[in-house]
Amino acid sequence: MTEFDPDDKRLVKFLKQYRPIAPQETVNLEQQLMESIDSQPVAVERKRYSLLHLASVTVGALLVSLLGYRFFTPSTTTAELEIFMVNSWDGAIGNESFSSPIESPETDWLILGDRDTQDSLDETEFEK
Amino acid sequence: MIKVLKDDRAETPDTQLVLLTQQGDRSSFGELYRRYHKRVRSTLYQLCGEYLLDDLEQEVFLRVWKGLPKLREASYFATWIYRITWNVASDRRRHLAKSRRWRQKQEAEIFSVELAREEHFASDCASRPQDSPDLMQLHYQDLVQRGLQNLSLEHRAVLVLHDLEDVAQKEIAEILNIPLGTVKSRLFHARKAIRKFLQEQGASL
Repeated sequence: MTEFDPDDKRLVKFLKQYRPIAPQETVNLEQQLMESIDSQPVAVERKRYSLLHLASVTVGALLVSLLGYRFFTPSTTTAELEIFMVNSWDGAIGNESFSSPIESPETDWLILGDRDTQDSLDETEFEK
Repeated sequence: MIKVLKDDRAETPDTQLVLLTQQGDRSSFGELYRRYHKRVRSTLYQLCGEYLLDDLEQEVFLRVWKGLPKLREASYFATWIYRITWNVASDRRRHLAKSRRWRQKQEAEIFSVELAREEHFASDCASRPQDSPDLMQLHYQDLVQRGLQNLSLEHRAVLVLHDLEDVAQKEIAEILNIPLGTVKSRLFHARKAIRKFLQEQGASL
C-alpha cells in the first residue's frame, strides 16, 4: 500500500466514510445469472482437451506412418537391383534373338540355297 | 481430485471454488458470485454510475463464467475479476461515446436528479436549522460521487480501486495493464483533483 502523507490519509478516510453506496439490485441477479449460464456450457476447457487429444492423435498417426514405411517396406540393395536388371536384360535379348528368323543359321542356309525363299523372306521383312 | 461437500462451500477457499467452477460446477460459481458481487457492483457503480448497473454486473459475471476455463492461476482470480470489471466499464464508456444522443439524455437526467437533490437538501436545511448527521452523510456522499464523476475514467479507476477497494498498486497495474509508475502518477493527480473539488464545495478535510 501507499505511504500516506497526512493530507492523503484524511482524504482517503473522508472518501471511505462517504463513498457512494451502490443501489440495491432491482431484480434477483443471482437467479438471472444462473439461468443464463445454464444455456452456456463450460466448453473452453473441454475444447482445449479435444484439441490436445486431436494433436496427439495426429502426431501418433504420423509416427506410425513413418515407422511403418521404414520397417515394412522391403529393403532392396543395389547389388540385388543390378542382378535383377541384368537378368531382365538378358531375358529380353534372348527372346529377341530367337524371334528373329533372319539371323538364325537355318535362314542363312536357305538364303544361299533358294531364290524363292529369299523373295518370300524379303516380303516378310517389308510386311514388318 | 478436489472433493468438497456442498454444505462446506461457504468455507471453501476461492482457489478451490475456481477449480471446481472450471470443471463446470455451477454451485461453486454461485458461491464465487456471492463473494464478489458486492465489490464488483460497488466498483461498477463508482466507475459508471447507476444507469444499467444490473446489466453491467451481470455482464461481468457472464464474462467470468465464459472466461474462467482460460484462467490458469486460480489464485489470480480476484485481480482477474477486477480486470473484467474494468473492461466492462471501459466498453460501456466506448459505447456511450458512440451514442451521443443517449449521453445527452443521461446528462439531462443527472442534471434533473441533482437539481431535485439540491432542492430537497435546501428545503430540509430550511426546515431544520441544524444539519442532522444523516443529512450531512447524504450531502457528503453526493459530493464524493460528483467528485468522482469529475475525474477521468482512468484516474477514477485508480482512485476507486486503491483508496476505496484497497487494491494494492501492483495489482492495479496488472488490472489496468499499465506500469506501476503510471498507477502512482494517476493516483497522485486523482487525489489532487478530488481534494480540490471537495474543498471548493466546502468539505473540511
